[in-house]
Amino acid sequence: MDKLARSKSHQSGSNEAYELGKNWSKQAKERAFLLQEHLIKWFDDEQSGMQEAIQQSILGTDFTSEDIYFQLSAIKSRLEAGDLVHWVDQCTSDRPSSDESRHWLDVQSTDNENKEAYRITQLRERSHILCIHAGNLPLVGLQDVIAVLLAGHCYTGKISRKDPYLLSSILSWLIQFGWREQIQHWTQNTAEIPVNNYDEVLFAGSESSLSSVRKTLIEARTLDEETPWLNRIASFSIAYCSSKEAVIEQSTEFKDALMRHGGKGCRSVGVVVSPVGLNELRIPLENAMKNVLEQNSSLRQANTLEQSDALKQTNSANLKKAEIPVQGGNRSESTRLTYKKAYNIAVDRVFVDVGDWMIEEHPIEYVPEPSNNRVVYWVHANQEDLVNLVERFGSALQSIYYVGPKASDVKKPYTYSFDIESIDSAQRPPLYWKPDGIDILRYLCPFII
Amino acid sequence: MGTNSRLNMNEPFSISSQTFEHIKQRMPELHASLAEPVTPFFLNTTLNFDEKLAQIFVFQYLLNPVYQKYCTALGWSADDYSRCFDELPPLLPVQAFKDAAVWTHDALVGDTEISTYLTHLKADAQPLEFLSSGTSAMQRSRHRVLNPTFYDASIRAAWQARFGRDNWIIWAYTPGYSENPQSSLLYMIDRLMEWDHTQESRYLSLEECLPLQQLNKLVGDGHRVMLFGAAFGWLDLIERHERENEPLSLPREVSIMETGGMKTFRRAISRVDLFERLVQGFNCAPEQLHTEYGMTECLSQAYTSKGLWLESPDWMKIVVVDPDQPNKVLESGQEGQIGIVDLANIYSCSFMLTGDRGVQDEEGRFQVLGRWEPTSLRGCNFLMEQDG
Repeated sequence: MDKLARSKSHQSGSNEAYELGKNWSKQAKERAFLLQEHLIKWFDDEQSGMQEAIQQSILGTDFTSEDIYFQLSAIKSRLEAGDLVHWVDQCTSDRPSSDESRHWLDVQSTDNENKEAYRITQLRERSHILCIHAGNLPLVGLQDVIAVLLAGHCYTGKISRKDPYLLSSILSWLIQFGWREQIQHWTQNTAEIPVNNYDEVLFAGSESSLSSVRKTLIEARTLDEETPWLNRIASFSIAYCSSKEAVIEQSTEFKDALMRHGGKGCRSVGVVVSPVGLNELRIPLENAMKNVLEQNSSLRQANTLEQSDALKQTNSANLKKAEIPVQGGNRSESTRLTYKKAYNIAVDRVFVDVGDWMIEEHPIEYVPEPSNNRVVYWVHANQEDLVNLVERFGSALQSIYYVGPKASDVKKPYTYSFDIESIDSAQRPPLYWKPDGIDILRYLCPFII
Repeated sequence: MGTNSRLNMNEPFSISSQTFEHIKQRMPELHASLAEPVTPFFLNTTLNFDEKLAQIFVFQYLLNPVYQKYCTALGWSADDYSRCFDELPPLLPVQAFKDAAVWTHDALVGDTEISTYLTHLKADAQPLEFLSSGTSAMQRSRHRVLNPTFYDASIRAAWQARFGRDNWIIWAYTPGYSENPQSSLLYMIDRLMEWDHTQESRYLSLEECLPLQQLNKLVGDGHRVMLFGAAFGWLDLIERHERENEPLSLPREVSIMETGGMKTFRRAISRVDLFERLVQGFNCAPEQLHTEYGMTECLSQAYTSKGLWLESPDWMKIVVVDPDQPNKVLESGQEGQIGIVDLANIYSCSFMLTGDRGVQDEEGRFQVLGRWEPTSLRGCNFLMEQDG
């Protein structure tokens, strides 16, 4: 059947699709309850393998123990809040409206409609999804795994070598609880991805590596040319700070949004927009950043002594002990920042630097897209200018956070739809957050009406 | 913590009379060349490159406030004349030409304007101001050339060093540049045209094929012709000739100068692919193709001398440095960020760090490999590691 015929068939079978959606909803909710329960057990059960995975990650990856514990704590709290059930409910209760999702629109209109129609007809329950995970944050691929399982699809994963232990531990654990049918395989090596008739690839690698990875998989006949790929584009987020007082009051959340995970991840703040100039906030910001670095310096010393003991402690005690670490400080990074600092002095740019972190003030006309994890751009501008920036940064922008008493005070940028999020959700997002504006569960279930 | 010793560039920057005396005594050759209409200092043959570099470093340190602050922050001072013989002075990122006014301007020596002492800076010497290409919404580099005769001298000397003293007819095919009247490249082409004693040099219409008949006539009359244009312009021209079924076959006496523009509204193209396409399209020998490497921020140009390798003139030094430690010069064969010491940039800054990625050979020639991309990229992605 060719693509158009399939599409027509899809339209005529809308009743069937409705029934399918209804059934899916019921089953997905059951899966959500189960998955939630099993994942929480992974955190709580001493025999789950989590501690071992944490220890291996501390010793064998670039992640710091603080970031690992922070991330696990964030995920666990969201599971306990019932995020998975909520996600399914949300997915079935409303469809994305035309202004609700940036990239959903892109996929349907600009990318090409036939491709989407093909995807809709291809993706049925128990479709085979290949997830190629990134590893720049601990467990960053978990959301994709959860989405595939909730959707009722079969999961195959290419686990990142940068985060090889935690996700594997969770997958092994879930298999013991009856998820074997859906969790089919995972591996760290591209060459070991089994040949399967994959219906979709979720790709978290860089855009530049996409074509070579795709070519490798097609040449190995792991995939065919027509298999749709969804890749991640956004690289940073913006925080809008309404006032000096707001920054001071929410300094803990603010510094977390900037500095957690070494500034990595598209949810980390790369640009701050505020009607307050950086100079006015110099002292409180410096103090907050210094405080982070000092706290972690002493924490690290303590951790070195207590690490082995701490790892044996009950999980929740450790999960609460997650301060922002100083990461990646090496000589070349430090030299690079010395030069950057000298440059800022030379061109009379207002900046704040603490340790190997820097906040630089740029005029709104010329603020570049942030590229360095540890360099944040400050734009002295008001809410109206925020709209221009959002348009300019386009798909590189993940989220907009609000620092202040009421997030609803921020006008929504009109071209793209962004939910204005509270700053405290930057590094502790709900499990149903939308990378690139895409609800991944909904994306995987185009058959739901 | 960042110092915020803001310097109002509209106000004169001043140095003490004592400091100026220091320049005069310590660097008599430099002072003489700036004070009198003699040979530009960078072409001075009594001093070697390093001696000239050291004098210019001290001069720019003292009289260019942007460069002074940059150097001071990196632990350099005006007393580091001798240090320049052991290590390269700090290379200022060329981005500074966008972010600040990188020139010696309205400097006061005590209460007296510096032009009283440095006649090149008198009001009757009209400065030039070059702007990099781009739209008005873009941040563009601004290079003020306080003494245009230095630029003229650099253009002529670099050209003659590479192409000899023979007369060249210049035909320019420059789409895009015509939209920027403050282009330093256009200025350069204008000068080269002026120096052509046949007066046959001109700008070509971008909407037409090459006037092959006229070209062949010039060659028949014993002239040499250099066609100047950006990479994408040449590709357009080749396509036009193909479309209009006017095959190109470039006579040996005609050369092509490619001036950059590898990635614009057309797809990006590698230099090797570009050269192959040009040789094929113009039906010429590879030796007829040349590349010019220059930039708005730089008063000197490098030209290809052999294949894809560029060679800089005697007063310009190219280095390839570690992007993370720009004071560390890499060995030949190692890829890094291109740094330039251009002694012709006397009144702006001679020590520049470009945004280009490059590599040098053992003879100091270099290739430009593209733009330097930062390694510590943001995002959830960018970390698709290689297997194996």
